[in-house]
Amino acid sequence: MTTIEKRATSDYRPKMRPSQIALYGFGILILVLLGWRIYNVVSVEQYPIQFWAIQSINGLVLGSVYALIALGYTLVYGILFMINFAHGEVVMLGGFAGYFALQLCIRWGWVAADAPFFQSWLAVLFPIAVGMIASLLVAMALERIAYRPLRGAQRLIPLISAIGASFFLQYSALLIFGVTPHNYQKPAVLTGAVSLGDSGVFISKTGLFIILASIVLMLILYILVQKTKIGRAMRAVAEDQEMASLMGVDVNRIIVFTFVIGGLLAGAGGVMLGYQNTVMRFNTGFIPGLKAFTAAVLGGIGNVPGAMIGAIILGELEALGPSLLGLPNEYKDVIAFSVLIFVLIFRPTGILGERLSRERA
Amino acid sequence: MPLFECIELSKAFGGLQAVDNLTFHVDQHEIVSIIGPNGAGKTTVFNLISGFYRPDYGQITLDGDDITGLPSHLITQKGIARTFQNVRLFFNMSIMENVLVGQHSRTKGGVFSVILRTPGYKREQEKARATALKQLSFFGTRLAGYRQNQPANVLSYANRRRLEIARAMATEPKLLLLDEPAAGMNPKETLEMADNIRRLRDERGFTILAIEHDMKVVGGISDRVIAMDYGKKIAEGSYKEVTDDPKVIEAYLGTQGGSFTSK
Amino acid sequence: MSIKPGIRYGIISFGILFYLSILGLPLPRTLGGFGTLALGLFWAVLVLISLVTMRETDQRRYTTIEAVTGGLLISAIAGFGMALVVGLFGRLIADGVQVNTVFAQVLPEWVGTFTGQTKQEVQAGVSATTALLRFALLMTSAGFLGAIVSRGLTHSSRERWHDWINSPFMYWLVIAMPFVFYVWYFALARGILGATNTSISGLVLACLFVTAVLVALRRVRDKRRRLVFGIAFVVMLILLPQIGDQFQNTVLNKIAIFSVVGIGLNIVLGYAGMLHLGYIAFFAVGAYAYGLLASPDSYFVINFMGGDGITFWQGLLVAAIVGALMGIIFGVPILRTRGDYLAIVTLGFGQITFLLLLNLREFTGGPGGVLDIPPPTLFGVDLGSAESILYLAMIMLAVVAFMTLRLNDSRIGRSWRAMKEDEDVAATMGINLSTTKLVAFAIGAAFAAVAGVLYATRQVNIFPDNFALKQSIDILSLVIIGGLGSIEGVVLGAVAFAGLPEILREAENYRIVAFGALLVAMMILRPQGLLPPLEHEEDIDVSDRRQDAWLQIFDAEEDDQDSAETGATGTD
Repeated sequence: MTTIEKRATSDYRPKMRPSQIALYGFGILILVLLGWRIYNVVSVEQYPIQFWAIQSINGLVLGSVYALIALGYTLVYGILFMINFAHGEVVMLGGFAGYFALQLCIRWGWVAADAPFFQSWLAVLFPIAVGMIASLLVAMALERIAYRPLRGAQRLIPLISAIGASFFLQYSALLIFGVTPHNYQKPAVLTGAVSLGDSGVFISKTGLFIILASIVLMLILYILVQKTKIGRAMRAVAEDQEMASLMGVDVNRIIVFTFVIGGLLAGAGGVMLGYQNTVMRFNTGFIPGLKAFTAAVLGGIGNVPGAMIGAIILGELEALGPSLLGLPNEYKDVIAFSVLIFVLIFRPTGILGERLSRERA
Repeated sequence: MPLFECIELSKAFGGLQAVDNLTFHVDQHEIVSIIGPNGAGKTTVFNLISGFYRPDYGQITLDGDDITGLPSHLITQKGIARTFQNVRLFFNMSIMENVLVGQHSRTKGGVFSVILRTPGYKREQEKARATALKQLSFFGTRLAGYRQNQPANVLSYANRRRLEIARAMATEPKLLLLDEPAAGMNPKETLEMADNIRRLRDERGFTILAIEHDMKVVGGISDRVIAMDYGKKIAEGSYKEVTDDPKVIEAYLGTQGGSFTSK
Repeated sequence: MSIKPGIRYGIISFGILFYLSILGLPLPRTLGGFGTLALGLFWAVLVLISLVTMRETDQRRYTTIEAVTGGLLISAIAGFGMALVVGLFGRLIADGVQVNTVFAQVLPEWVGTFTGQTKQEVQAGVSATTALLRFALLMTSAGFLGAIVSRGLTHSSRERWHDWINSPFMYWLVIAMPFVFYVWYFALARGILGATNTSISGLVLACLFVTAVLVALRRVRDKRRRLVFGIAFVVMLILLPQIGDQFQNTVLNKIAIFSVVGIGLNIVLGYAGMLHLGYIAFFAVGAYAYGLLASPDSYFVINFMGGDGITFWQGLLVAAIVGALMGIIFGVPILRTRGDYLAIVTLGFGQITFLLLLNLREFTGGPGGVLDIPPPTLFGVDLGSAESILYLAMIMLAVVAFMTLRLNDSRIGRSWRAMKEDEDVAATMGINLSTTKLVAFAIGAAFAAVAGVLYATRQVNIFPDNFALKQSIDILSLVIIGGLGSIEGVVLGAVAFAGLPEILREAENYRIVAFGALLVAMMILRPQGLLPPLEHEEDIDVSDRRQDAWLQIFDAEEDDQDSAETGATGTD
């Protein structure tokens, strides 16, 4: 007993492992090198401040669309712990539905430059509504057919099913809608740009609309999740499925509801992608879906604010990264994925994520 | 000097202090049981010892070596093996393979010697197989014989627990951590398991730290009993001393309605 | 009663038929000029649906009348629904509405397939009510047939079916199949059967032969017979490249190369349990390593090697080393990530590799790729023909399979599989997770890289598009559909993923749609794959398993030996 008492006076706080020290050293080294490179590029290139402002606004627009899509990934992950790999296709199909709705609007004369203000706005919102409904239906069908039978299986299995569903939907769209790109025609109210004072900084009306609409949609989502009964039930299921069902929450209904919300946001995101890119193809959803998923992981998957933050970061990285590092624009994806890997090395659960670390043992 | 020591071990999860300033030791060839109501932090102690969690504070030593915060595999290599409360076997691997995995850190064959099947590797595998058989035969014919090439998921629950112990033995540990070895067994199997645990010490010379709920088992096997509640040690001593301790009785009465037996 | 399920499945069937039809199946050009084949397919789908939904199961049992009612309902709803849709589309087209701006495949010919009209008749709006009625009735007959056939599918018939599958007749039939396909292939290729254009049909036979060998080897359990037939099959495989023409050998060597890649991924995913979505990067690294160091046009060869590239054999060595190193370099950052995070990070690595190949124009040639990659030579003999590459690929496949089998049955393989099942427990067995993962990455990557060298020399010119995400998913799917953890499964998967696209060249997009659906269906119905590792399929003693299930339900743990001694005693 005496030995123990004597030792008890010494300090037993845990020490850093050598491997951790090496890891952080490596991280700091990379950051220093990056900072050096950015300093060099920025001091040499001397872009005007307007350039950076416009680029970051572009990043914000991109980030808003990613955020809408990323929320679908993160909500589903929060509840089912599965990557809904086919979410990008839900986005794409919503975009196509929006395209056809837009064609109707064109036929009704709402899109023309001289269309009345009110109808011109209808031409913006009607395709979004149609896209949201279409995506909702696709997301529900996806859940019912490809995911529900696999609930409780090993985690790899639903993911593979999702990959299969993704390719099924993508190439179905190719066959059904054809290879030719479908051109989105912008309604009058979305053409042109707005000048921010006399600073020389412009933002396209489409971009402005996308940012505002995304904020509105995400606010609605926030209220839905935080303040309503079904939102509470959703969070309960995310926390502990079994316990929630014992408390009388209909888990099945909540899961469907989650897909519904993800689908609605994806549909809106799809149509916005259409307005932004002015073109819709069978594979339009795939890469943005991948990026949005990356954003969700970056922010900490399963975490709603994390997805938004991750999406904005990713959008900004893509818009600013190449110029900051003095690389051609084609490298924006390389930068985005590199940052993802870098973040995950140091925070394996993402910027705001914590749930996974507690899963052990 | 004791074989194994935990000094001022502490671990918190968020606001919950799962293990609080816990100090205890296990001597060579001793069987020590940890008891306590559900949620007392017993399994967390095991997880801290086997390297699943890093303690917030405190030191763990084995044979005088500081093993605090080492990764799990190094702790196993130093000589601590464990079983799990909810039996965690490699269910798709055969019974023999489960035990051979236990031999992993005691063998060395690398990629090239494995592919070329060098004589050294062959010898080593012969030895590993012999050791594995020896561990399996500890439980008589229950695991050895025709069954050993079947996947572990064909085993009954009691045999799964036995296989888990055999697998832990195969890592050739100095200290064996058994997490509720008799949980879910019928009375006959429970008695047999208690007997087995004693034999582990007497015949195989292991030192054992066990978590157990079944007081018959605890009383039957323990040289010393440690009682925990809310992450703290509330009593330590012989089985009789601990079960008579008013603090222990209160801990159980307060949470489990006065029943000393499991469930 | 069968009315409700009849209506429900009728609507579902209608949905399926509608979906298949807007995919463009009824268009004459889709199915090799026979649009009416699609109608046969629809009919078969309806037979199948009514058969499956009306058959006897543990939960329900229909009388014959109920079954027929149900089947008729299903097929009538689907058939008349389709007729209505076709009529509607026909009318719209006749009215000059551009239906194909929405459904690109709904052309006048599409309607014509259902109504038997020509393009002009459809456009003119000639009434086709009788034809559509005939179509609907034809479809309805499918439900009747399905329901009648379902009467034969009782529980006892399923057992009889099982007995039949396990009968000696089937046993010998399965063993005979490889020989049958082989001889048929030989006869076809030598023109004995008289057909002229035999490239595709021969390829089908060759693929069937490979599949039959895999199935037969799995069926033969007796060791001595295994040896005998194994030797026979090996001899046949050695002679296989001599039979085929260049096209067939080209496809077969692609199958073999993709098998090697699949075996590599199988180590990472099937054994070590890490979902690597960027695995194609290692394949690309091998191919580019050889291409860039061997092609006379490459930046490196011109600037650093004085115009003399390395040989194929040196390329193999370089690729194995570079691949293994890449596996480790890509592996280190992801050691701490698990599960889905691992999947997305590896996907990121794959994308980065692809984008770098595409954008580092100066070094990799960018989208223009690496051209004129030299063929392998041995003692001055050019081994660039499809036939020699097939031999090389088969040798490589054999070596890689042999190495994998040995690794799997060793302490390394056991540590992989232990880690796959439970990382934490594996660590408490003294397994160093980091090194175990890195070894798996390194070996898997080296296999893929070596296969990449062979692929590069097979292709002569390689482009970044050969190594895009889609190929990564293809390789993933081939391993999973074949059966995770089983080499036969991987080869079967390679036949499906490398062979079928060549056979169904015209219908590439349909193939992807079908494979997507197949992946989903497989995960639901047979997640272990078509040819899973044997121990999961049959070696398990069924009675032990049943006992185990029973024990789990009642939580009354009784060892079988105890129950034999003492009889059942309940606990608690």
